[in-house]
Amino acid sequence: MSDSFDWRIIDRHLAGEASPDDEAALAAWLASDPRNATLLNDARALGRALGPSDDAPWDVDHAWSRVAARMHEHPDGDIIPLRARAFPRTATFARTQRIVAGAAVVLAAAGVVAVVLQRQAMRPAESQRRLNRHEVVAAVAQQTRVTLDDGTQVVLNAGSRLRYGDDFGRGTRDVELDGEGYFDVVHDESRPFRVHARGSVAQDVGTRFVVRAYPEQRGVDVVVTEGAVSLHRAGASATPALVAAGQRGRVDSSGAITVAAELDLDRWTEWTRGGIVLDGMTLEDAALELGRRFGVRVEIRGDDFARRRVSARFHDEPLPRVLDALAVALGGTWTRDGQRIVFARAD
Amino acid sequence: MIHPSKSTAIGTDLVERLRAGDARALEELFRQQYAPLCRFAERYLRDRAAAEDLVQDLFAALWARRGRIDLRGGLRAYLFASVRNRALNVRKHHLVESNWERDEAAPEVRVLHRPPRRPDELLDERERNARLRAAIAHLPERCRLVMQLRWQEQLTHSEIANILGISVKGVEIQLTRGLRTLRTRVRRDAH
Repeated sequence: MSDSFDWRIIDRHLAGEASPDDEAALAAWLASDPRNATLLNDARALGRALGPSDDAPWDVDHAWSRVAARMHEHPDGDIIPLRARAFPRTATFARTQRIVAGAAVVLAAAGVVAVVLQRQAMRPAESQRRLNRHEVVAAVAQQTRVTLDDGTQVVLNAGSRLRYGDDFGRGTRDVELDGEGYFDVVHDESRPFRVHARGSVAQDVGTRFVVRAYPEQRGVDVVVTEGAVSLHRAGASATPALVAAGQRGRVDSSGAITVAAELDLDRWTEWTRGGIVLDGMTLEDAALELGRRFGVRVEIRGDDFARRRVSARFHDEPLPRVLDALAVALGGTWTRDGQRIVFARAD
Repeated sequence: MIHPSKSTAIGTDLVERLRAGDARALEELFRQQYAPLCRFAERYLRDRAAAEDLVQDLFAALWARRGRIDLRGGLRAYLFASVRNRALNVRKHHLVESNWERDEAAPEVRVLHRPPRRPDELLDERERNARLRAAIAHLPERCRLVMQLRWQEQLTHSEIANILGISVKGVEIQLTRGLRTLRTRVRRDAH
């Protein structure tokens, strides 16, 4: 093995860049000493020795389908990985233009807001045409923060999506929400901002509020942190229900609207700061919440166990610690297999 | 000195098509680069699923920002460098047991953190890999990264320099260092 041999020839050969001259020189070098072939083979094998322990091929088709599904994401959507500290403690957005609303709903307070909940305000075909052109997605284990063209800021919680049409802002500002979103709407009296959520529509004229409409909920919650809100359903002639800042309006599955003081506003916005609030929900629903947040599937063993109520708050804790805490509180035990977690009563 | 037929090279037309919003260009690029980028990400994250998530996120972001990305160093270097940046960010947030930036320059990291290997691997290959890894265990992780990027992923010296934030000279030093180590081992084993 000659020390004087040019290492760059070996390097080019291994990197697929060798010229015919290189290859000829290499052949002569290999023939000069059998140990040279060993060296070359070792260097070639090094990539594999260095690489991952698991040589299973990557499922490129499946991976591509997941990426392709995300290609309609809003270009300005800023994805926040949840295990990273998601949000500064103060979740208020810097607002450059803050206009006090007041004409539509006459209330004494400044920053008056109308949120109108309407059922099926738009015909499906129209809704398709108008709303499905752009899509902002927060996948599981992510939150997405986006500024819409009108300056409205939206934070989407894990497992949520927001859609709107090319005509957003022309006449009205209609968005369609699946899941949970925090909205900080820039007021424009001439262009009402409406959130369509699971058959309901929330109309805003300048406020901050959370709309929570995950599929497992039997209803839609609208919690106003600033301003005030007016709720009604399209087609319903009943007087709108007014929801002031610090109140929660809830549309249940029958369409009935209730409004109540919400003493714990943080409980509704904690997720924008990276927290998780399990607030007297069933273990079954908590499993869905944790599944979205951590990008896993949590299965609860036993119907009775699944209906147990759980209250807990977490902040920045990794999934194992969250599960440990729940296991201790409920007398449960958990096992993990990849992305699947089984939570069962401890015997 | 890029060989024209090199299979790993990315055509400039692909970059143009990508910028113009051609979804098929993204798919082509994805199918070409997914496995190499996942392998690279896994070196940092040591978690196959996390590596895949990272690379998928990267491509989703690449598409969203296709008109605005800075590709002066070449698309392939951009992709690998992005994987590294994202992986270091992820590690900063939830793999706090060691500082990878520091580890890159230090030996033994890979040895300490290596996951268990599958039992059904061919014994020959396992033995050889074990011997090889033992031989390079004292090298800095950065040296091993350079060798992987160069001889497995077949990136150019300047691409690797861009990705790891070191000089081209630094890349060459790491490569000679790796080869010299292998040569020493071959000589010793032959005795």
